[in-house]
Amino acid sequence: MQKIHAGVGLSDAADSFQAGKNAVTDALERINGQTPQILIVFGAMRFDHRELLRGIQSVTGDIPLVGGTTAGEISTQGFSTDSVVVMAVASGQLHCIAGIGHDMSRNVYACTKEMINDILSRDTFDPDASLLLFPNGMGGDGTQILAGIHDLLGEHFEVAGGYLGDDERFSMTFQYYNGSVYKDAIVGLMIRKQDGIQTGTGVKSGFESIGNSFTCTASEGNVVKEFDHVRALDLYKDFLGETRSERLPGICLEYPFGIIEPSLSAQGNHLFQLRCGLAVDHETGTISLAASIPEGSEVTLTTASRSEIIKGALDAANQAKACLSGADPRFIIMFSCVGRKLVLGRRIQEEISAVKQCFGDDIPIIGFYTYGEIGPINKMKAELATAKFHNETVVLWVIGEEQA
Amino acid sequence: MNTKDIQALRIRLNELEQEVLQNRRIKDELLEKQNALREQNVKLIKKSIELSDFQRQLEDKNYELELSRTELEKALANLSESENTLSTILANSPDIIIAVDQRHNVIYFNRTFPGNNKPLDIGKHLCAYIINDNHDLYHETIDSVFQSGSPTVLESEFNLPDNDTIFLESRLVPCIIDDKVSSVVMISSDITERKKIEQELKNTLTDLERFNRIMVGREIRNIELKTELEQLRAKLLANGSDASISTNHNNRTTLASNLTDPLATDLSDWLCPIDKASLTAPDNPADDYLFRSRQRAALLNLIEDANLARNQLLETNIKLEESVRRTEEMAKAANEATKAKSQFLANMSHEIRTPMNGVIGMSDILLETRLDEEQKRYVETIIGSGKNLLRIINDVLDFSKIEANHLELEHYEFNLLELLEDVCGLLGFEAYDKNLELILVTAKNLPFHVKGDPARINQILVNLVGNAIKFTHEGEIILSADLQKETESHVVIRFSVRDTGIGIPAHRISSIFEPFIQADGSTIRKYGGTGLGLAISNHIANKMGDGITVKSNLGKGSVFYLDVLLEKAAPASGPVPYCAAPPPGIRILVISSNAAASKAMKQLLENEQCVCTVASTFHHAATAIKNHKFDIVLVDIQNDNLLADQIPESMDELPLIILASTGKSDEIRNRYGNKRFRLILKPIHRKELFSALAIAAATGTPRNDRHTRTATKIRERPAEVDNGYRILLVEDSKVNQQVASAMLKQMGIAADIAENGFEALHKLRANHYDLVLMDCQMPQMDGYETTKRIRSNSEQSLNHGIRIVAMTAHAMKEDRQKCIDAGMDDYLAKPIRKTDFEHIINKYLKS
Repeated sequence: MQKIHAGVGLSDAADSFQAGKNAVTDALERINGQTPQILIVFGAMRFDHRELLRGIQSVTGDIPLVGGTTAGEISTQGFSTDSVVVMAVASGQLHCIAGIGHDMSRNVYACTKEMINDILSRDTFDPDASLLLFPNGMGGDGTQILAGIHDLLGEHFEVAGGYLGDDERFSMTFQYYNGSVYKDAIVGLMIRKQDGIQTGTGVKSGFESIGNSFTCTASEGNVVKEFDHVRALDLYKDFLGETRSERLPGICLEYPFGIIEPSLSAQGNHLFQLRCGLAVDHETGTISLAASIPEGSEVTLTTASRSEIIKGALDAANQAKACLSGADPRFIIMFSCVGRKLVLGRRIQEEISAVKQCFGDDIPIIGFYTYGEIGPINKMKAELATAKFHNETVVLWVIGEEQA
Repeated sequence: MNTKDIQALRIRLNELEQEVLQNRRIKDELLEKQNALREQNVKLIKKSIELSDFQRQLEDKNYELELSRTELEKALANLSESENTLSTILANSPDIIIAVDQRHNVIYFNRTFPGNNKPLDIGKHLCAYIINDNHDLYHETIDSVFQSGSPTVLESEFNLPDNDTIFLESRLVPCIIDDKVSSVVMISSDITERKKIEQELKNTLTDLERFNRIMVGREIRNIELKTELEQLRAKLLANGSDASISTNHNNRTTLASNLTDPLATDLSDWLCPIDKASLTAPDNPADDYLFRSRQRAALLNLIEDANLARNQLLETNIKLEESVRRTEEMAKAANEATKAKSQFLANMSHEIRTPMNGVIGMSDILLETRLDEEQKRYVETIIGSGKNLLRIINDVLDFSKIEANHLELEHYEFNLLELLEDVCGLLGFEAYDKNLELILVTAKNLPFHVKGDPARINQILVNLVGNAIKFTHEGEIILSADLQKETESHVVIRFSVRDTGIGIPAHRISSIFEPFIQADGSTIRKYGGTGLGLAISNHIANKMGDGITVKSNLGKGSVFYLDVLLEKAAPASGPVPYCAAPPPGIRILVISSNAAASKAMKQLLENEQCVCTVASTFHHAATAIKNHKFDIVLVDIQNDNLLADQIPESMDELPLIILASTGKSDEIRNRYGNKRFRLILKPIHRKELFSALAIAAATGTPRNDRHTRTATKIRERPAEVDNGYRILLVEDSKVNQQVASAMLKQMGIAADIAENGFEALHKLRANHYDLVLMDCQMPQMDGYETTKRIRSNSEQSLNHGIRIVAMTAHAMKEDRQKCIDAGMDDYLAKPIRKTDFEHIINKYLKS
């Protein structure tokens, strides 16, 4: 008897209500009409989001629902845009509790705490549970979310998530929580599992360090001011050379910074979290990033070719699979950076194909292209099991059943 | 302290100073090294980046290669598949197909010759498979085809062991590779059946011939008999009976001997019983008389029969000849009518296209010059109107096509929003000129990427909106598109055109779709038009769906509905072009005195998740601003009501966007010159409005574009940009000369002009040119003739092979062939569009 059933549906119907209805009906058909515990929904910006959720609820009633808007949708069928994807999960062995925190951009840390307390107020704390995060992608410093989680749930709690998107408008994202649409919130989903069920994460980018490191000598929030006491942008331009500098800030996607984890980098083999420049100010010589680079951190320049990026997705899949220690994978949630999407261009489908190559073509997948990814560098190694905030990275969360 | 101590201290001090200096030196050196190291580091990273860039390019190239290799493999697979199909077809062909090489070895076969039981093998000699009788014949014929290289036909007879005979007709065709016959293919058909039929036909012909001979004999016999009988009768009448009997007896003998003539067997058969009776009773005078009278009657009858039949034959023949002649005449007339018709169409399109060439061409050039938004809009309207004029010709052509049931719909991908905005753009000027509002409303769930026949939908909507403008004197016209039905693959879109015009009386509604009829017989004079538009539109609409339906309220207005079934198009793959959108959640105050327009605007903005408040006057707006917070103010100027008021000062702090029709823009600039605002011309292009909203929301301050309208002079590229090419333009029309040379001038190319063919030939004898642009229709010597002469060796042109590109207003397909046949290299249809023109010129100048 299979314990976990997951089905993924997709619709690109023009009408929002109809699209929601079609996608969820599709998803339910794939779990043979069983009643799901939870629905995970990712939609393109173009929808009337209230109508979209109303369309879903016209089929499923008040079954809990989490998700939000994207910069591109991911489903079992591959990559799509202007669509809505829905995953329905049915299992008597899983316990899913969703929670929400408001006003993220005012105080990320407080908002995270509000969300976790919302969940814990309705459920017992289980250190072996997993937390999936869907924060407002324009809501602020991702490291503050991690601070909130680590303070309340501990450093080794399993966390995976992605900053919600808005089809690259970079102005505002929406969060889906049950039947309602929110603007500046963090939605969380706590999944507790019974014995015989394994979960895992895979986090890889495919980006490699090029050249020696340098030190961040001045930064403020998400803005980097100096590397090695030189204006940050000036040094970056020196690295890039004249012709490539003309492609700023777009070229930042190809050459993101990696913050080196000093304690974990042995034999010149750096482990790093990626930070991608979003905007540059030529007058002040500063670079704005998606999250902070703390003063004093060692930074290296990184890059990856398209096939290395695709290889990164395959490596992430292998890492996630290894966490299952032989359990049969049942479904995957995938968070991949919008920057990867932009660099991959028309090879975008290959990234999802790489994941399927590892888990099999039939594995239900849902996910989206994100404005920032959250997950541990390697769950299997105690020193790397703490969740970090990344850019240009793919984060996979997978759940599987041990064979009877 | 003693001197010794002081001395010691001094020395120590000195030492310390030395040490400090030493340290400083070391520190400086260290710093220098550190700097060098840093520089080294930057250089290293830079090098790494270059390397990784290079690697990336390499990988992309590889990927492209891989892609094209996959494509190639696919193509190869297709090829072998089609090869398979081909060999299946060949194998199943009822003909025997055998190909042999020069040594008469078999290189392909689909089956063997009849009567041959040996399995045929590729590579074996043909001899093994041909029964002796035909052996030499086939070898000789194959050899002759190898030698002559021309196909031939061979008939042969195969006598099979079971006494059957099969006739084969073999067509022998050479395969020529590099001017040499490499192999011969024999395609042999079994013509036994045909032979049989031929034989039967031959037999029938012999029978017929025999019958004919008999008939001819009978005719002669008839004539002879007639003569004899006449003589007989004359004698009977003139002499006594004795004499007559003896004569008659003699005659009878002759007659009898004649009747035994084998040629006249049937005649003799017919006369026999009487004859025989007369021969057995020769001496009975009564009987003899009876015999003679009967014989005479019989003969007379026979003659009459023959005469009748002959006359009938003659008459039929004459009739046949007559009808053949008439058929020929009719065919000739029909041919001439077809020619006349296509000539008429060609002439008509020429007559209209030539001036349009001028209008559209010059407008194209004008667009290239520095114009402000408004002027640009005017020029685009000119081009639009020109295209519309061409559409009228098409109307007439369409109608004849509909009458002949030849109208066909196209099916390709297009953007529905662009189509609708095009329709509004084309007719907006007309509407605003009449002080009417033209409002576009699209349902928010409307799919924009669809497949269908956009040109035809455009045609119908232009007709409906045009009519609505024509029959409306105040108020507005609303063009809307709604999603009526949706399946996984298709959508039904309902277009509606609603006006506040004069309406249609109920009893007239059914007749408005008939050709040449408008709702009221008298309106045709007042409102003009061909009267064909609605009839054509309805015909097309019927082909695309359920036709056009109308609801009307006399004196209040009409609504025309059009339901069209369209296929959904797949969302474009690859990167989607960036589209500005107003940030969701911004608060917009819309001021508009037209209820329908403000409703449409509110819906449009709310679809984009903006918060929208509507006010109908500046006064209301000022109140709203006092009570609520707004991010942007949008003023839609319909008529003079709003213009009469001043914009309240409380709006000065907010970004202001004014929407107005082209005709009002100057007035608005004068009136609100003291304000800062962004002006958007109506009919609105959604992209333009959205980007203005996005900019206003982002910057928070309105962009003042009061001063953008400065340079209006036509900007010409400096004439000294001469890239050395020389083109001869052969064209009789002054307008076309100007258009083409202006386009060439913009490209920096010098052109000489020849007014006709003679002048062109003259110039080509004297000067060297890189390219000739040749008008086809010219007085004295046309373009075809001129081209033939240039190509001819008897002409003393400097370059017989010069590239010649035809320019012709003849839009018909066969015209292109006519140009190529005359020796021209390419073809440009008038009216000439700048892009086509540049493309062609560059193509031939660079080659």
